[in-house]
Amino acid sequence: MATVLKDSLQTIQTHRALSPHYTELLDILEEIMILREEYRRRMQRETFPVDEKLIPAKMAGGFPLIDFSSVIGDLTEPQHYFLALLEIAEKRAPGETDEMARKIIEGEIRFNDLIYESFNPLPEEEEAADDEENSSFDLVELFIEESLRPALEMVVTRYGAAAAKAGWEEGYCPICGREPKIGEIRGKKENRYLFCNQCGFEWNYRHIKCPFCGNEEQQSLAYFTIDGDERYRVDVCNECKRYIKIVDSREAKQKADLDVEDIATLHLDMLANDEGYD
Amino acid sequence: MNVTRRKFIQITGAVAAGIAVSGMGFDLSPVRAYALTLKTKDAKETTTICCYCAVGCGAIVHTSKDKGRVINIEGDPDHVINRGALCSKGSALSQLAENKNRLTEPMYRAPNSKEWKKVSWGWALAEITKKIKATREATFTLKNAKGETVNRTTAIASVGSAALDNEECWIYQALLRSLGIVYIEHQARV
Amino acid sequence: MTNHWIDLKNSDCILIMGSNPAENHPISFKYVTMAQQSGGKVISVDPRFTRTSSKADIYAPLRSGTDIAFLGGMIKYILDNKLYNEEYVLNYTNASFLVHNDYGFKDGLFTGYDPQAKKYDKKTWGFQVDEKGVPKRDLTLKDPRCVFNILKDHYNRYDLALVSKITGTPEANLLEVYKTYAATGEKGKAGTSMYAMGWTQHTVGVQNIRAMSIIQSLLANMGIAGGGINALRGESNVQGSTDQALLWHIWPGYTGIPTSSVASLDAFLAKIKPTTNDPLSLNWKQNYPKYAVSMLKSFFGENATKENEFGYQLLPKPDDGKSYSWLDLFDEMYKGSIKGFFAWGMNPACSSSNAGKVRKAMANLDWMVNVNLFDNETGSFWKGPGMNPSKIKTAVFMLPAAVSVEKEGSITNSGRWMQWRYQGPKPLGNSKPDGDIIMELGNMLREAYKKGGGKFPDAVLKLKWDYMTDGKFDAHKVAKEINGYFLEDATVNNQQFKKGDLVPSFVFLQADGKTSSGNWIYSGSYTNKGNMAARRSQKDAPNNIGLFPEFAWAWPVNRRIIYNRASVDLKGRPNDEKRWVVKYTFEQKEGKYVPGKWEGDVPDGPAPPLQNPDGTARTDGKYPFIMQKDGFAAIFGPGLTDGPLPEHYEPLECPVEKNFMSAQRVNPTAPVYGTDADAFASCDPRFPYVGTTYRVSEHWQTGLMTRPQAWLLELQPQVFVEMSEELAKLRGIKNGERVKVSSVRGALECTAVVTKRFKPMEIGDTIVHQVGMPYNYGWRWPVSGKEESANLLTPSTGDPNTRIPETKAFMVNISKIKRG
Repeated sequence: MATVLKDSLQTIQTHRALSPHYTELLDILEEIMILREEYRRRMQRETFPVDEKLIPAKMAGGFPLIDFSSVIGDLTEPQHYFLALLEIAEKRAPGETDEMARKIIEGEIRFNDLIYESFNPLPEEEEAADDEENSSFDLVELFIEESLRPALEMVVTRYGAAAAKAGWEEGYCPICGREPKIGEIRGKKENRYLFCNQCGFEWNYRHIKCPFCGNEEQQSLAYFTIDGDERYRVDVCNECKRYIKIVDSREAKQKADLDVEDIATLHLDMLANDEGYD
Repeated sequence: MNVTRRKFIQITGAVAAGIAVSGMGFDLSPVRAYALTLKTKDAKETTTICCYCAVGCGAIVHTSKDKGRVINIEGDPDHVINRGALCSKGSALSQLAENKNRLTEPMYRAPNSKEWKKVSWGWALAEITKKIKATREATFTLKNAKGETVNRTTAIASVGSAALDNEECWIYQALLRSLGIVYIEHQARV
Repeated sequence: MTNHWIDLKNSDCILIMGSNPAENHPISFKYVTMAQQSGGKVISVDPRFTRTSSKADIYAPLRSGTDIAFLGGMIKYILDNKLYNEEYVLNYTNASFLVHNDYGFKDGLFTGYDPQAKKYDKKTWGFQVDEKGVPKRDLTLKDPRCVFNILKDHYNRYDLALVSKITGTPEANLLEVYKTYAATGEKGKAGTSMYAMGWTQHTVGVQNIRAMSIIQSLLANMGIAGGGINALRGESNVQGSTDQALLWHIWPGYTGIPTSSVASLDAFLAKIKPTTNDPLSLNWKQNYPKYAVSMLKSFFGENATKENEFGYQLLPKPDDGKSYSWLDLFDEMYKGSIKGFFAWGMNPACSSSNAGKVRKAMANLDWMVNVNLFDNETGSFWKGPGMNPSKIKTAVFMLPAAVSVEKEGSITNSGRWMQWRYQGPKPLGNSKPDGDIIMELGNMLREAYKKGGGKFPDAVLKLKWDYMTDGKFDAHKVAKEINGYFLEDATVNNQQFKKGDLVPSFVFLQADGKTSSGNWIYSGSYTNKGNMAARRSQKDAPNNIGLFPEFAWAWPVNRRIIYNRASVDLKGRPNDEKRWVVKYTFEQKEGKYVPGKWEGDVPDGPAPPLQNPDGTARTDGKYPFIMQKDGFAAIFGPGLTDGPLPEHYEPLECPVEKNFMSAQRVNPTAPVYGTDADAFASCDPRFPYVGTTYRVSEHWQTGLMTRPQAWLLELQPQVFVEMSEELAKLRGIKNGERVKVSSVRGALECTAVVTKRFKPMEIGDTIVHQVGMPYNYGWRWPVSGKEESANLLTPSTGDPNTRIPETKAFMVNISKIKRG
């Protein structure tokens, strides 16, 4: 679960001081965190009901608790949160988001479709997009992902422990099915945890195994670090050419705030991309 | 499956539903500029089992790609026996591999000599082969005193080793036995 | 280990005797602690108060070499107080068997002893059989000839006062240990034993363990979670290297070895195939001929044919009745009959008992090949203390081996888990993996015999020797050979296989040459499904007792707890519901019970239990102890060299004139050697103190791999001798000063550690002092050359069954060093 807001803001402050190139992104993240906390408190009911009886079977079969491959249900609350998030962008580029907000409110774009497609992107569009060269960071994408967070956190709070206990051995999130972007090595036992940006859940995942293709052939797995900054490493798989960022918190006093760390380590994503990893 | 991070960075979201979001793409060129200043170090992790006692603790060996040597060896948190913990010897495993006292060349001490001499593998193995064959030829017995077939030499002996892998042990005993050696012993006895 | 490391946590009582896991197997202690945290009791019995003792609930001191007296007293306590598990004893052990009418025991000797040969004729040690040839049983346990009553008679002599007099353990301590441990005989309770060289390195080593096996059988502790007999092996692959038969007396997988009198393969196969006339005994060893022939096929490949007895005649045979063991090997070397010697990854100049004899013996060699990571006391023996290199003719080759992390292959831990290791860095400098050295040497030898011919060249030339890939040793190829192949298309057990398929398990091996398997117990480790030893799944089995069945692979057939069918009652129901290992569920068809299935661990064979749920007997059930030909745990064990029941004898070198138990002071079958280097001194005023050896956490075995390491050497830089405050006072020795420790065979300088960990003991009328030294040192490292091996003191004698030397009890003196 995400740490308390105060800690997150403190972490953001630390990163801002150390890495000026992340200032603007961190400003936005700060706003998101504040807003998230507000919506967390506002959450009234379960957006994603879970049938408790099915948990063991789902976990054993490798199925996440919430299935985003089909029906999503009533997303009224996430939609409210999404619209509020859009205002963060609006402040920076006035007028840009008005149109989108209007279309969503008037039903021209179904919010459910946005969510569905964020989980089930169309392959041809991915390819077309591959040609683009410019480095930029899309806020709408981020907001869509973020919009479900308070609702999903409720699921995590309620059923996360059961999922952890079931001994989940998959590389995608047992709560929502998202693939992780970042993880952490921490604790006395030095386990590797994968973090789901989508719902905030973390689960223990074996070292030396690719979360994306399950490859365990040790000679085809590797990692890189940045000279002089041993706190981060990037685990790569030469079978599927995917990668995951890892925060090494063994020397740290407290566990990492992976929401913040993910944003503050986009340079690692770039370096991984440069090496040909997705 | 999911949009990967690469696309997440490079593209402008291109969330379906056809929304043009170019204006909301966030400029990452400062981060890009920063990334270009960084130097990466490549390494790999391999699992091993501690070579000391027979608890069989797991450890992870970190090997640097450029130097090809051990950077660190640490307990394997995913090993179900030791769960990342190691004893004093296991914790020092990297000093076993990266140790200036290690033998790195075959050495030979001639009869009555006072010193070691560095030799090549080719020479050493050829000489050893000659010595084994000479001793075997001189001492091989087809039958014992009772006239029973024994096909052996009792003039060559071997001790070791529990320090070998199973596969090495197996071929070693096969080779020794094929030579007719019966004095085969190792650490299990002491 | 019958069980495995993690399983220790399931125990209600752990008897740690003959081992010191907190220091020598540190990580295992995690599970000892877990057992304790769940309410289990930990007992430490040791001459010295170790770090294990400091964590134990109960500590009892004993004099080195008196374990059988201690355990014999426990057997008596269990029998006297009826604390044994009657159902288990009756149904699963040979307690009810009737022993041969001529069997007897008198004043320390069993029937059949030949004092000249120092050997027993064991023919009276057998069982009475009925007209069908099945051992006779008395299920009332009343017959005076039944094992149970013979056991009672034998241990009736081990009363508390006498045991205390022998062991030096106060009676109150004995009682507390007996009471606590015997409580595990209760249904649903588990007791286990952890032992190591503190039990094996005695002239009664095997019988020490036998005594514990009897206790475990009486208390129903075999086959259960948290139970068993657990040998803590000291080297990472000493289990594997034993399994692969780097020992003179066995072939891979323990199928025995042919001796000179066994002239043909058929005769050998008949010899290794035990028979039983009891249809309820599975008698697993009856399959040995299949394993032996499959092994020969792995040795000689296509050159092993039915016509040439699968190459049987190509392998060497030792003489009947002669030992070629460690002590014998160095005795022969000392006498000069051994000319060539390999010390491969081993340091006998420090690890062997009577190391001084061993070092001198090496000077008689023409040549030595020493393969190791570091220069060491064996390879450089010719320049060691007291040696004159110019007079030593031995040519020595020292070959640099790669460290384990620089190569690939598997090792087998004490719990029989075969675990795969990967290559991290490449070998340092010009060092090579041992596998490459062996293969290259083999290639050259074969070439030499191919080109130049020689004596009996077929043995060398017909060996299957194709384990390289691209000029390098290929561990996968050998691992597959060890697992075994189908060599022809075959249908076995209703399953079809193609030529070249890996065999799924030893159940499919054949005696007709259609299958190969280098080592049957490893069959199933590398199959068409892949390399089982490399598995890393974190999932536990349904019984949730820490078996982790998909993590690595355990021999045999991935069974994690051996004899697990003894954990259930006759109907297949677990005796311990909470920590069940296996359980059986019958199916019913037309009102009849038909075979169902076992769940949990891999059971000892698929056959159903002995009874149906309604208590009626089944004709297809099997006894649980499948490796015994009769199917029962052996309380009475007729197979050993020195007796069917453990009996207390003093160590060969001991502080007492007389064995308080009998007229036989020492084991009458203990081997002794007769060279001038084989002196012994018992009750000799020159050597009045009991000496023992052990290890420290920071060094490993002779220290060869750890003494050249800076951190570890700094932690434990010097060989020391631990002694009581009383002895130190007596000898005027101060803590920290260097002293001389000597035996009749040798001496070394040690740093005195004056401690409360040793206490003087009252043995009979005398006060006995004990001292202890780590044997982790040798002159080569540290470079000062002053830290020598404690094995310079130890004697050349040992257990008559295993010939493991007696390095845990011998006599020494300690004196101050007068300088300048």
